[in-house]
Amino acid sequence: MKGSQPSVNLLRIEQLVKLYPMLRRGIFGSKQVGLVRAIDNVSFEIRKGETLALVGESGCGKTTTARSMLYLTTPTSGRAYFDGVDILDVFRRGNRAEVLSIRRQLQYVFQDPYLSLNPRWSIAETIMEPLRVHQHLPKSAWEGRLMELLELVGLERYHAWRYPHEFSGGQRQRVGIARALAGEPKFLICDEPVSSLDVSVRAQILNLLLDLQERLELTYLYISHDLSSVRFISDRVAVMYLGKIVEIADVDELFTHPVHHYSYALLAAIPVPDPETAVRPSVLIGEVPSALNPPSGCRFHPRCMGALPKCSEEEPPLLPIGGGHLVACHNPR
Amino acid sequence: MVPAAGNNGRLLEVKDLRIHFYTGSGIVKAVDGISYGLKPGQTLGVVGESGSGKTISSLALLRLIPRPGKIISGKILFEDEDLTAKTETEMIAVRGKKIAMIFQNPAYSLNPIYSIGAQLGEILVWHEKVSQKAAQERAAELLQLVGIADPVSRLRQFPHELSGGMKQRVCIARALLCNPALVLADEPTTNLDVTIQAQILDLLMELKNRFHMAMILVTHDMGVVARTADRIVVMYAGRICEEANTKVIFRDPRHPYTKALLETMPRVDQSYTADSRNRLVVIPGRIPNLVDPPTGCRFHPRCAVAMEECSTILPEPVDVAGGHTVSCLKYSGGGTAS
Repeated sequence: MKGSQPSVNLLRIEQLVKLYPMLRRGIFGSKQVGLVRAIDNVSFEIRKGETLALVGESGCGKTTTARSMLYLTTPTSGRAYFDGVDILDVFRRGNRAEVLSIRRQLQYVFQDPYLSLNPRWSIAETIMEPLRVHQHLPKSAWEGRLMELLELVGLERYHAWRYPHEFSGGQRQRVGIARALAGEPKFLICDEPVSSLDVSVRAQILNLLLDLQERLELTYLYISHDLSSVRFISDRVAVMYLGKIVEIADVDELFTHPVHHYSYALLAAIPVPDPETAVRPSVLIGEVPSALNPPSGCRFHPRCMGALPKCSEEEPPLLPIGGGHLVACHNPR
Repeated sequence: MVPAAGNNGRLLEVKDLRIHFYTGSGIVKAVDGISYGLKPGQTLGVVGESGSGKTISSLALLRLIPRPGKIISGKILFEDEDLTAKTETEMIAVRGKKIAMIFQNPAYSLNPIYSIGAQLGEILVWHEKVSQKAAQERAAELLQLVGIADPVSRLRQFPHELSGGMKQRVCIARALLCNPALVLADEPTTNLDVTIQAQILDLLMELKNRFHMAMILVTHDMGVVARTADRIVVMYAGRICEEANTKVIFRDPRHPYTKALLETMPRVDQSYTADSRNRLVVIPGRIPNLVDPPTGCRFHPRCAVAMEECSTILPEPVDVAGGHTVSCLKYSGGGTAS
C-alpha cells in the first residue's frame, strides 16, 4: 500500500494494559511483590491495507502488545476493535465459533521458524492444520488450497511432503507465512519475521511480504528492532519505550524528523553501511530501566537530553502535532 | 606500546588456511584456503553470512576449533611464529595473553558460578604471575575503564546480576587484562539492542586506539564494519571473495557477492515510499551446503553475472588496485581448475 493513503481503520487499539505480577516464591507459597507494567495504555490505529511497524528495544512491550490484542496472553484492560467489532470482548466471552471467526482473520507469523514449526509434522500437515480447525473449506478442496498456498509463498509442490528439518531458515519462514495465510486472513502480525534469517535471504522474505500484501490486500502489524527493514516495509511507525508508545508518524517523517528524544537516539544508534556517515557518537547513555519500577513522569526522562523539571513529575500524553504525527513529550526536539 | 611486528610490518599473516570438519555426513570444508594479513593496531572486519567460515577462521587463530574440526593445511604467522605448529601448552601462553577473544553471547561466555572478580583475577594470576590482591586491583581498574561504575563492588557480583550490555563490558575488560596485541571480537554486539550496540562499539574503538591493539571484528552486519574497520574481508562459503580498505569496499565493490550483499540490505537512510512497486534486490537461492560445495567459484549458482567457466575454475585472488584483491574470474581470467 506504499504511497497511497488508505483511510479506513481496520484495527483500533484503545488503552491496552498488561500487568504481570512479580512473585516471590517461598516455602508456604508465593506472594506478589510488585507489578511489571509490560504495556501501559497503548493506543493506536491501523488503516486498511497499510503496514504499521512497532519498533523499540527488547523488553519494551512490542510482542506483548501483539499477543495481548490477539488474547494469546490475557490483557489486564483495554479494548481492540477489528472491523468495528470489540474482539477482546469476543475472546473474553469465549464462544468458540465467534472466537474462531475472529482468529481466522487475524493471523501471526512468528519470529523463529526453527521453533514455530512442529518438527514431526510434514509441511502439508502444518499448512493444512488451519483448514482443519476453521473448516471453512470442504475437505475435497484442501489439497488444492495447499498447493495454491505453496505457490503463493514461492515453494514447490513436492515440498509439501517434506519435514521442517529439510528446509533452510528462509524456506521455513515461507512455510510459516503459508500457514498464517491458510485461513484467508485480512490482518497479519509479523513478529520479527526476518531477524533470524541470513542477510541474503532477508530480502526475499521482505519482498514476499510486500507482494502478498498487494495481491491479497493484507494489513500488517510489523514488529521489529531492525530499523532498516522497518524503513523498507512500513507505511507508519510507532516507537515504544518501556511499555509506552512515545511517537507515531509516517515512515519517512519519523526517519528524517524524529521529534521524541528517544526516537532520535534510537535512529542515531543504527550503524549505517556507509563509512562516510557511519561514525556518529552514540547519543544515548545508560540502559533501559526496569519495568518493575519505571521512572516517574516521562519514563525516558533519566536518559533524556532535553528533560525539563516537569518531565519527572508529569507523564506526557501522546498528542498530535500535525500531519498524522503523534508524540508524547513535554519538550519535543 | 606497539608490539613486535612480523614480516613486512605484519602482526598476523594467515596463509592458505584450510579447516575441515569430519562429520558423519561427509567432510565439511568450513574454511577452504584463505589468506589475509593484519598490521599492528589495525582493525580488520570479517564479513559473511552464517556458514561462511568467518567464526571458525577466527577460532583457528586461538586453535580453539571444536571437534570434529581440524586445521588441514596452512600457516598462521603471529609475531613471526607459526601458531599451527605450536603445542597445546605453548598455545595456553598465547590465549588471553597475546590474543584475546570477545564472544558473541556474553551470557554464555562468563561462568555463572564464579564472581566477576574470580573470573578476571584468574587470568592475571595465571599469565602475569601476580598476587590475587594485585590481580583484583588491576581487574577493578579495567572495569572502570570499560565504563562500569563502582567496579570494586561489581567484582563481588555474579554474571546473573548484570544486564547484557554490562556483561559484554565485563567480557571486554577480561579480553584487555593482559594487554593483548590482537583482540578477536566475534559478533560482539549481535545480541544487544541498537543503543547498547552503539555504546559497545564506541567503547571498543576507544580502547583499541588507547592500547594500540589490532582487532579482528567478525560480523554479518555491514553497518558495524563501516563504523569500525580499517580493512574488510568478505567471506562466502569458506572462501574470501574480496579484501580491501573499508571505504573501497563500500565505494567500489568489485566481487558480485559483495555488490549483491550491499544492495540486498534495506537502508535506514533511504526512502522506499515513493514507488509502491519498490522491491529489494534479491540474491536468489540459498547458502550452499559445505559438504558438497559448488564446483568452481562457490558463488556461481547465485551469481547474476556468472560465466560458463565460473562453474569449473576456482578463482584465485587478484590485486585489482593497490591492496584491493578480488577472487572473481571477471577480473582475472585465471584460476585453478577444480
